[in-house]
Amino acid sequence: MLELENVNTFYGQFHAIREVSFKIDQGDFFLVVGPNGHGKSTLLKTICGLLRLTSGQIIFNGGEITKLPTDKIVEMGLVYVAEERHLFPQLTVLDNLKLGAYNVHARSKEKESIDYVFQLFPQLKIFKDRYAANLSGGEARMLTVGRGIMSCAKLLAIDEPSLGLAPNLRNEVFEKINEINSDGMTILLVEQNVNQVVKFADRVCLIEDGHIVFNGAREEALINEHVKEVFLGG
Amino acid sequence: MNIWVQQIIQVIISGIITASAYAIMGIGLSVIYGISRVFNFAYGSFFTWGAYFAWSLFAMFSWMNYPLVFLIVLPGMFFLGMATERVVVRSLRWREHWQVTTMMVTLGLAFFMDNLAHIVFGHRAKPLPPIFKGNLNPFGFTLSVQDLAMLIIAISIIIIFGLFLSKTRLGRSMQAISQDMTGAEIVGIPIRKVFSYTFGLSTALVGMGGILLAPRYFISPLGGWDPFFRVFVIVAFGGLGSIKGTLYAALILAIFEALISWGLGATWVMPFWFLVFLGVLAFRPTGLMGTWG
Repeated sequence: MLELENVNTFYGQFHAIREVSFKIDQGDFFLVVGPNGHGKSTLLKTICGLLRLTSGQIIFNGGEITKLPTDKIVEMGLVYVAEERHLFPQLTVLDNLKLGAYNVHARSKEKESIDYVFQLFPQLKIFKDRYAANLSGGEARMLTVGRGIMSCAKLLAIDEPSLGLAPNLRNEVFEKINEINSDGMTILLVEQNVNQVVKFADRVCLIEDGHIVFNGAREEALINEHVKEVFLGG
Repeated sequence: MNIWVQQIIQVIISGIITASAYAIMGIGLSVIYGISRVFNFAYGSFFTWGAYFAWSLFAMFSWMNYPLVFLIVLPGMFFLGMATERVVVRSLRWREHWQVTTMMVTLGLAFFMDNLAHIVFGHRAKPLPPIFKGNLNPFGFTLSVQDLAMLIIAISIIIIFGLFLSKTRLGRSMQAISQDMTGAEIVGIPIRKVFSYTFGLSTALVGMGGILLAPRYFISPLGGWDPFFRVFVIVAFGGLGSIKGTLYAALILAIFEALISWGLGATWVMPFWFLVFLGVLAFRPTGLMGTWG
């Protein structure tokens, strides 16, 4: 469904992504792990068109998206859920969700999508008239994921959804993402809390210094010495 | 009624009427910064050119009338603004120091437009006919129908613009961009397109201001700088990017301007604007309701 071939990205002068290639199949839960500052977020921003890659190719759903602007990529169903949230603070929860359904395709399914998001996150329904600025960390995180779903996403690329959340809330967010995945959504998740989330993943990919150093099924990752050393506490 | 009280009320009414024209121009200057993050130094020149376009139509066709002028000039200004964004701003956007660069480039554009106006229309000031003639005398005050029309047109534009922002898709995407540009990009709003629409809209608004104020102040090649400066102070006072702030600031400052012009004389009007500007910079650089530093 999503295929990267020898992708390179520079962040200013810094060569952040080096020769990255991988493939995500439809319906997969693809987990990207790696130490802080090693290029995971840059990778997601590159895929979603917020950063320009310097060489390589990205194919989504059979079409090349390498040089497309973000709005076109969103229209195709590849949606980025940012670590920094980027909600619209002075708009209500409901208006934030509605803006998620911006492209023509998503707008025609706005009602169904809202029902789905409210069923997934009942708290958002309760607070639907509240300004996004007044949400708690956990609620805001759910709103960012919900807004992503609203865009009629086929693949959600989610960046560190657990950031700044208490451990019990983290678990809740991971479980919700797993639920979305079970409903058929392909998930590309960047996350540091490997222990809490690895049980949901189909595949695990470890990035260090902008390189992929491991990419395999969860079972392989759990027995790989290097992955264990970095994340699973030996 | 006491003659002083009556005069003061008359002056305040006149201030409110000027405020309405300043307000629509202020909104135009404010949205262009709030949404597309560009400070447009050629804003005053677009004011002048809007009025010149209207004057040309009246000069060329003896049967010309104001509804037709609005119908031709405003869309024309909209496309001129969009073209300016495409040609002048777009290629500079996101480069290093691009915000300062665009300021410089739009300043250059202003010089170009002013000189072009000088060549095409000459240095002599041009009048626009009043939209309406005659006076009204409600409760012993004098109010020209022209001023009343200006007030009604300006208020209608402000209301329509407010509805446009909250009700239409384009308006909501403008709000989204002004609140979080990356967020807007993530949800799939084509921000580059919205930038050029914003430029177009802003240019149409200042062109409207030019047409509304021209019957009062005449049109000349450099005539746009004075209102531009006032509108700039209004927007700084109200808070760059805040429409509500701009409306309050226009009302407060235009009434003060009218009172000063009446009480101290017209010489003190420009010093008053400078003083307000310095005051804003010194005590509250974000303005009354501004979110932009």
